[in-house]
Amino acid sequence: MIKNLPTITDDLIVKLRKASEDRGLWYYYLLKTAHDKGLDIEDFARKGIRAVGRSNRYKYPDTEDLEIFVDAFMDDISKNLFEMELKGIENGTAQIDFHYCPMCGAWTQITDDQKFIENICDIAMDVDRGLFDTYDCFEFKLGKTICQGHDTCEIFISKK
Amino acid sequence: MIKNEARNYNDDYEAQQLRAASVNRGKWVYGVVRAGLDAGMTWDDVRKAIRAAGAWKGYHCFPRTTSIKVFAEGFATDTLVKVNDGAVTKLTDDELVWEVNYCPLVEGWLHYTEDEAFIANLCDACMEIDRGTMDSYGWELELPKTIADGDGKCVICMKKKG
Repeated sequence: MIKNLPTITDDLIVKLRKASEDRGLWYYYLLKTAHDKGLDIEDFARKGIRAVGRSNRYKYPDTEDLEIFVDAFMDDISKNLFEMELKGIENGTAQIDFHYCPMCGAWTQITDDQKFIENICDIAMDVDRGLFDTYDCFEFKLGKTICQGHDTCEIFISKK
Repeated sequence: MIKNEARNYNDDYEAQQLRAASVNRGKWVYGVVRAGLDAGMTWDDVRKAIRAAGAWKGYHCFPRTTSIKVFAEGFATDTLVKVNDGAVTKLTDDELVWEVNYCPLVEGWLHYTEDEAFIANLCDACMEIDRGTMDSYGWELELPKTIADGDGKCVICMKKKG
């Protein structure tokens, strides 16, 4: 059972949340249509989303300093949109918990097929994997996720 | 040559943030569609998917009404006016005309390609979002001008049938 409730009520964040839910809506129907046609979304959608992630590099700093990167990753908008919490930076690894996912917020309004939601969630996370493809010094790991039924999404960013 | 320039709200922080969010949506759509077409999706598949998304929006995001004027209040919000640098240029009992000077999706696509024929195809496929919404009301969409076709603005006519 997916639990995914936003708590931040700031007017701009609410509008941005709706914009991200809208992205989730388009993404869901594109992948669902392809899946229903028998295409392998694991193959093509991962390629497409990972390429988007790599193309997002210009938004992030050229740095090898984990704290500087984490500050940029958790800018004010992203922090509030995903209700991010920095759990800590220890032994070269930062753990960031996301307490809300707007794309999942859209998907659960459209379907109760949790297996499909888990699948398209992990494909969507290739946007971050693609971003980290562009850094030689950092690596990204996804822990538990909201779409798997956990309370938060756990993001781990480590120095290589 | 595509001209996609917002003239208003460019210094408005909310507009900047919301435009960036929509540019991001454009990049995701481009990434999935481009990879999907390479893997065997057809343009008809893309249109079918986006039309379904549009119908969902019609049923869940806009007021359920038989009045185009009531629909216009829910559709052409202050937020959308800012994001698209848009305006309602005609509103009657039978027709809503929505004109926009700026499309964040086109901006997103131009990050990846200069192939204007592809962008025009993708634009028309993406307009299935509004066609799908119109389906949910039994209304229809006409698209006489688009930014992606080089017209400098999009003119989107939503009207009752016949």
